[in-house]
Amino acid sequence: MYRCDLDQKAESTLLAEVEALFAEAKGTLLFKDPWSKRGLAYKIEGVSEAKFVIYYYELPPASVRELDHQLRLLKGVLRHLTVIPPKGYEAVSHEAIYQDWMKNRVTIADARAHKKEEKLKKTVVDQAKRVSKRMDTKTKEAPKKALSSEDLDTQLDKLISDSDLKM
Amino acid sequence: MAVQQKIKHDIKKGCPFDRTGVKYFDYKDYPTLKQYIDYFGNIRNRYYTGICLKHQKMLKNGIERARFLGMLAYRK
Repeated sequence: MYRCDLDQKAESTLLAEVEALFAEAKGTLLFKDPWSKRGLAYKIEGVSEAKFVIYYYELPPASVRELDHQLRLLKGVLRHLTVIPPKGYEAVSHEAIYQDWMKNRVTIADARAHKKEEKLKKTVVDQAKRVSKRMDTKTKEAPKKALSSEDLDTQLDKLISDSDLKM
Repeated sequence: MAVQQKIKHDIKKGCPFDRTGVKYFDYKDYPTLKQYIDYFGNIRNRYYTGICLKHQKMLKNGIERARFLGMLAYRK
C-alpha cells in the first residue's frame, strides 16, 4: 500500500524499488495485481486514500524477515503485509472479482424484485379469496325472496286444481 | 404450544461456512467480511452469527489483516 499523491515517475520508481527488493531476495513473481486508488477506513500517516499492489511471490523463507525490514524502511510505502496463502488459494485479479461481484449484484436485485412480485401476487390471491369467502357468507345469510302475489296465485291454483287432492 | 415453541427455539442452523466448505477467509474479500462486522466495527459474536469456532478464528484473522491495511475500520 503506497501513497496515491505521488507523481507517475515517483510511483514507477517506487514499484521498481519494491520489485528489486524481491529480486534481491531471490523471489519468483507468480502474479501481480495492482489496484486502483481507493479510500481508507482510517487515516494512515495523514493520508485517507492510497493505492494497493498485491504481489504473489515464491520466496525462500529465510529471506522474508530481511525483506520485511527493507520494505518497512522504504519511503512512500504506507504499510505492507506478508502473508502465506492457505492451501488451495487461487490468485485472482481484483478486477475479475469486482466484475463477478457486479454480475451477482444484478442477480441479487433480480431475486429481490422477483420476491416482491411473488409477495404482491400472494396478496392479490389472498384478497380475492377473502372477497369470495365474504360473498359466499353473504349469499348464505341473505333471506329468501318473498314470492310475488302472481306466483303465489299460480301455485295456489295448481294445488287446488290437483285431482288427487281430497278436500 | 409451549413445547413446540421451545423445540423451534432449540433448533440450530449450523455454521454457514461449514455447509459451503470454506477453507480460508481472504482479507481482500470485503463483501464477505462486512457481514460479520457490526455498526461500530466490532466483530460479531459467533453466538449471534452461528459460525463455528474454527471459522470464527479464520474470520478474525481475515478481519484483522483487513483492518491493518486500512480496508476496514478498527472503530467507527
